Amino acid sequence: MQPDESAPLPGRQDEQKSADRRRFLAGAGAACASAALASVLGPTLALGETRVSFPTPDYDWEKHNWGYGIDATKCIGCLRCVDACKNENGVAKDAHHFRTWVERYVYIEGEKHPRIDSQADPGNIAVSAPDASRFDDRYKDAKVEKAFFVPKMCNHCQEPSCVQVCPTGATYKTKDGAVLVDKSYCIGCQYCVQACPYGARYFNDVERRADKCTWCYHRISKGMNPACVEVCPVGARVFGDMNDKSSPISRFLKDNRVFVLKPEMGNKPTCFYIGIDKEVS
Amino acid sequence: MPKHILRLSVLIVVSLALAVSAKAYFTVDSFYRYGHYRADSVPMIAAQEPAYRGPAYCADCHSDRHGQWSSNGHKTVKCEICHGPARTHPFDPNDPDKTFKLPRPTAEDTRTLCTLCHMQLTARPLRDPPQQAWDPAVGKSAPWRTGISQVLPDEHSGGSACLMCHDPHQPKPIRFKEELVQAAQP
Repeated sequence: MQPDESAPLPGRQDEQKSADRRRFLAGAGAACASAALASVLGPTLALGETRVSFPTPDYDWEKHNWGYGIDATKCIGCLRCVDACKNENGVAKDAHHFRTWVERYVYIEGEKHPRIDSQADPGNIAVSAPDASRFDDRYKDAKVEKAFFVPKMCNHCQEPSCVQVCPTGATYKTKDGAVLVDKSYCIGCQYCVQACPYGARYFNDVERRADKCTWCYHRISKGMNPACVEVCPVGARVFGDMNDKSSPISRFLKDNRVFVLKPEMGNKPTCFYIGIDKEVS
Repeated sequence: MPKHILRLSVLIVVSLALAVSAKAYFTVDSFYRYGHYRADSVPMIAAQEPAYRGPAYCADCHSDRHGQWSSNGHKTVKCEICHGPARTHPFDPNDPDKTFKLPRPTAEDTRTLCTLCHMQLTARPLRDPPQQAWDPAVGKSAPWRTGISQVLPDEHSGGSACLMCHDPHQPKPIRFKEELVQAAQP
């Protein structure tokens, strides 16, 4: 017997209702999915266009993988790198704002831990005016067992905590390895300043935004060295393209056994050190 | 379809459309191009003008000085360390018709500048082997190995300017204090 299509069957009303609901849910789901797809695909499709050299016509960031080396055994603590960095990047010339700085580790006979001061230490400011441009000689009468300088800066991590915590996408890792700050998207919340395990970021009080070392991105993208590397008179700072086997950084990495600061943090820095001690972090 | 379901669905669709179009409107075009950031900010950062131009830039005009400087032990101490960043020198950055000079370090400045590197300081690596005094009879001092020659300025020069004996562009002593003292005597 053919079932009568028009005859109401028990439960038919409910079925129709649930079919409507199903149809509605499917429709709403499809709308959501297509909206999501559009937002994801839009930029992806834009990538499909013929790719020109980015970020500048003469410089393609896909072709470089920058790295930085610091030889602490060579550093003489002249602080010319700090001065050059401030001149190059317009960093405030006081003892509280640095993109790069130098620390001094001094092990005194009979003391368990080294004394650590940076050029921003009050004692150093006292001998060098407010811009903290030189180290004082406070240890000249102490029995010093060992002492050395350690230049510090942004480690341009492969897994940067600062990028992870930024709520606005104002800080990011470029394809060639630098961690940069987009001035106009930074809202000055300073979350990144707290997240950085190396203390490499500072707050620019004038522009009300977070600021940091860019490896002088405007210089390296023009084929120059960062300003700190350019001025270092003893070659304690080394910079180059790790893709290029003959670059200074590739030779530095090949010829030395290098350390990174705080490897336990898992940030995978691309600043490599030689000649630092177990106390340096 | 019951009325309240219809209203609800219209509300959901409208707010979805609103959210999607608001996001499209407020997100700049380049934002997701390479990741969760504005791709256009990279060329903006790369466009900054370098302040330090390097010795080759200086050599264009000051070739004689460049030749003197690049032929001795101070050749790692680049021009702009002491003379400051060249920026657009010799042209004024604001008015290309005007020129501007870099500040010329005075004799007193040299003492400040020289001691940045050559003041005896804890943690500053010493010369290895330890530096020997310049011997005019032999005509040389200890060979450069590692570290840097360091002095206590008051003991070393008795307070006179470094420039009295040393030319920063060619730092091996070219004049001797005794000669200068003799020359100064009537």
